[in-house]
Amino acid sequence: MAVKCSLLTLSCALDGELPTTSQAELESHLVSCERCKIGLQYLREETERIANLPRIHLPHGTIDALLQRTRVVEPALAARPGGAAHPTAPAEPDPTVAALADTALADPPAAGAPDPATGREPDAPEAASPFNVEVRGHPSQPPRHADVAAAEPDAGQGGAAAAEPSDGAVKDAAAEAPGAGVPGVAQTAGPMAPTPPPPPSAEHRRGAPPARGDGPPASRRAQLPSEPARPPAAPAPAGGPVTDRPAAPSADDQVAAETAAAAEPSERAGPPPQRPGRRTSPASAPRRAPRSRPAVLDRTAARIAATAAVALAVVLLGLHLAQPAPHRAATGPSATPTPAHPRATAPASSPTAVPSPTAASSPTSVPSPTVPAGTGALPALTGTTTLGGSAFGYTVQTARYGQHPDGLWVVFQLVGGRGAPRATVGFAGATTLDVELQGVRPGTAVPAPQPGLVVTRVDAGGTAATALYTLHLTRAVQVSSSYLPGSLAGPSGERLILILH
Amino acid sequence: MNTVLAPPEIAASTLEALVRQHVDTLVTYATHLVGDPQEAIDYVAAGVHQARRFPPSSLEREGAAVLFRAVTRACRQRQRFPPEPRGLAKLFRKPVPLLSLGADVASAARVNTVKRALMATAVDRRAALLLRDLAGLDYRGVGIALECSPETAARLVAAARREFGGIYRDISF
Repeated sequence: MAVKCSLLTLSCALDGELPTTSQAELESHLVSCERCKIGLQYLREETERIANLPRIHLPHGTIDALLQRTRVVEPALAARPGGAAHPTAPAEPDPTVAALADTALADPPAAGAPDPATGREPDAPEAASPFNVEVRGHPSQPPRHADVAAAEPDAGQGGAAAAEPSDGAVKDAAAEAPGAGVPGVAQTAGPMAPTPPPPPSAEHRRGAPPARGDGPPASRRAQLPSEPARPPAAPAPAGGPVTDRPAAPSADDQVAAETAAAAEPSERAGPPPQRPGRRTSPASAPRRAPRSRPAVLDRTAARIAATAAVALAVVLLGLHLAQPAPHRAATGPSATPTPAHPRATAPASSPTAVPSPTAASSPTSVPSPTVPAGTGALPALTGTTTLGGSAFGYTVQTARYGQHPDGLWVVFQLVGGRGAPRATVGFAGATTLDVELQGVRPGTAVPAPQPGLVVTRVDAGGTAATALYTLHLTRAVQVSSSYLPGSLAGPSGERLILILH
Repeated sequence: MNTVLAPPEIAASTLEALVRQHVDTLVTYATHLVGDPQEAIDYVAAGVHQARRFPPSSLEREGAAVLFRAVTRACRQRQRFPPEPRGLAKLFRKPVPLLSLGADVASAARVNTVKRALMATAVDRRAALLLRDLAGLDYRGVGIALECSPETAARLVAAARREFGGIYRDISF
């Protein structure tokens, strides 16, 4: 059968996946087929390009951190490979391990996490040893560190082959201390079966639950600060099967367990008690208490609260600035409550303060038009009209006068602001018309009206936030005021129109 | 009746040794597959975590191909470990990566013509090409990693080489 000229055949031949007979046929075919020869050369070039892509080599610390993070190994075991945790070997500090310990990835603090008080990290020569756990096999036996015994077997070993010697070291250490509990080593994460079985300990026989999946291992739960201390366990017999499951208790243990269950039924629901063989530093208990809650949540809550406070402050400040000036002054600590427009809300029954537009015969009731607005000394106006709402930034640019068939138009040109200024138009006297614009700065002097108009003179006054114009009239008039439709927020600003007729 | 099989008993050291042996290749493969080293290590962590939680029964027999399959699944499904925060927690995500990569990551992340052409190919073909030529898996391993038959893997590799070569020649000149 002749070899088919196809890319698939050439690709398979390049990878050595072609059967032997087909390979020989292809080689004979390539002698005569120039197209396949070129195609094979192209394919070889593509293969070399891909093979020459840069490769990544992770540092040992990152690999250990990755294995700890994914719980392939227990945190106490991960520092072994590479010999970095050897007591006599200088350890290379790995920032990733510290970062992992700080972030508390939905896990309780691991046994290899750095101590927040001492700042020692798991990779430190003294504290980094995963077997830096006091082995208290028997009360009469002095505690010893298992890593001393575990140091010898894996000296000079590293890399992937170091996992087994480390476990073997545990076995040796436990064998030298009969009945010693080696916490953190016996449990493996998830459904992985524990590879060399650790020696039996009293805590295992007492029913330490096997570490499964997402739950914290028993070695971690035992470090919770709220656990009460428990008397040291009886020495366990050396040898024997090791399992994570609770072994069958003896008759004495069963009686004692039943008695304890009958006496303290609520104790079973509480956290597991402190077990012997753990690091029972009294100073570390209060330090570990806040870590029962992930620190990430605390920081997140603090950030949320700070953000909400800043947002609230910004909103309050914006509302405060958007208020008109008199109201803002009233909200000050030393200001007395005043109405938004004192003259407009004054009692109309006051004979001196409310002149009628027709009461031209009472000149004493007409206040001086040159008194600036906003001082509160002016009497109340009559026939007031209020327009607009809140605005800021406006300046009176000019005023224009135009005689129309329906009356005299007085137009105030306001520029440079936003919103519709609150305008109050009212009669201070029979022939005196006051126009107060809140949120508007009085600009330059408005031009004088032409002779012959009903307005003889315009006086400007006010404060920085309120403009007051007093129009002196030749006779009593009726006034209608409005903003020019369509001029709001337009390029030419606002136009307040007074029609006197 | 319990119809769910118990997870197979796999020695923890088997997975650990396998990960330690192939983690560099896994990260390199994921980096060139997704184009970002930091994302890649998250995907590798997700794949390893998945393999730890649900260890495949063929882990010892098929070896690294199973890990490549888990990492490929994580890359396809954008499954990170730890999971990417959702909702409001996105605003408070830690900017500092948890795992530091080596100094050679910069060269791996640098975009050149080959990487540009590689990123322009289809994802399945790119994965097949990387698994065969970068990770060195045979067609059976590529089939395991991509969850297809070895014949399909051979076709994928051949088509990937053709597509990659065409794109590379187009953009290199």
